[in-house]
Amino acid sequence: MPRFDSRWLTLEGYEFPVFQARISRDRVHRYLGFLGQQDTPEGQGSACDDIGRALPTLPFSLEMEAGVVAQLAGLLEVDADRLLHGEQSFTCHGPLRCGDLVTVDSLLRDVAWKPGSRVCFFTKESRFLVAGRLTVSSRSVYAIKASEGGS
Amino acid sequence: MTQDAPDLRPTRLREMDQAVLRAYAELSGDLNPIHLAREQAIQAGYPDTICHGMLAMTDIGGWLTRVMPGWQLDGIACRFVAPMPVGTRLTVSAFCGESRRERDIVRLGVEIEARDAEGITRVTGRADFHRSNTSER
Repeated sequence: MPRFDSRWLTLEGYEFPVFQARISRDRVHRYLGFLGQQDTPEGQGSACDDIGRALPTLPFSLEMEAGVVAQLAGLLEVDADRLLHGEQSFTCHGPLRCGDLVTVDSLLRDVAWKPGSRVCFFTKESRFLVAGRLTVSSRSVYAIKASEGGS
Repeated sequence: MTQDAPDLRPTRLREMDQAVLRAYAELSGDLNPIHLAREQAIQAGYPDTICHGMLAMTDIGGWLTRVMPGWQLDGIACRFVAPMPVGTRLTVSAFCGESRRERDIVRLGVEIEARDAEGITRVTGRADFHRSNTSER
């Protein structure tokens, strides 16, 4: 078990490097195939024009592939397998379409150490923008079980 | 159930076996070994590989959008209450709140709870939807 590091608290407000990723039709079809929905209107081409609401968790995969969670683990100097994914939310603000180039910015909004339960919570907020327009926002809460002590 | 609410019956989702975990890992890019390698999962303190919380959320979100045709998803939030070992099969229950009419649209909140075969709650959450007030009437 990692030791609680008081330096973690100073990381509140950390801005992750902004990155861009394209929503490929292939990715959307693979997602729909995974969900067994390739025979639905969303899986048959034109409805793929708006994929944000049909596949609310797809934006998360953009962050995973860009290594945002790995960056968080690196920032905290813990192994990624120590980060427990406690909560996740997505809010749809507008359509996300196949072919869209998505700009993703993420912020470590909150760091909270609960000494009673020896858990440190990290809340990351992300925005997914297309041509400057907010399409999806997300909130992720990760937890690390840690022993007392550290610098 | 309100007049606007869909009929949401408890539904068993698919078993999240190792093949499903691997497929989701490749799809999502979440290749954390606690989901894929038993030995490393054990080293991290788990009895076996652990399902991605996001896999459960993906299946729950996919189920909701499937059983609520005509409704547009505005947002979904999940809390992963307890780790889900490989092989977990969730039964998801959804409960509609009161619908709210706003001019030409109807808004509806749905509370979500997913339990494993032993009845242990693994995921809780909420999804918010809207639809045109004139659709499907």
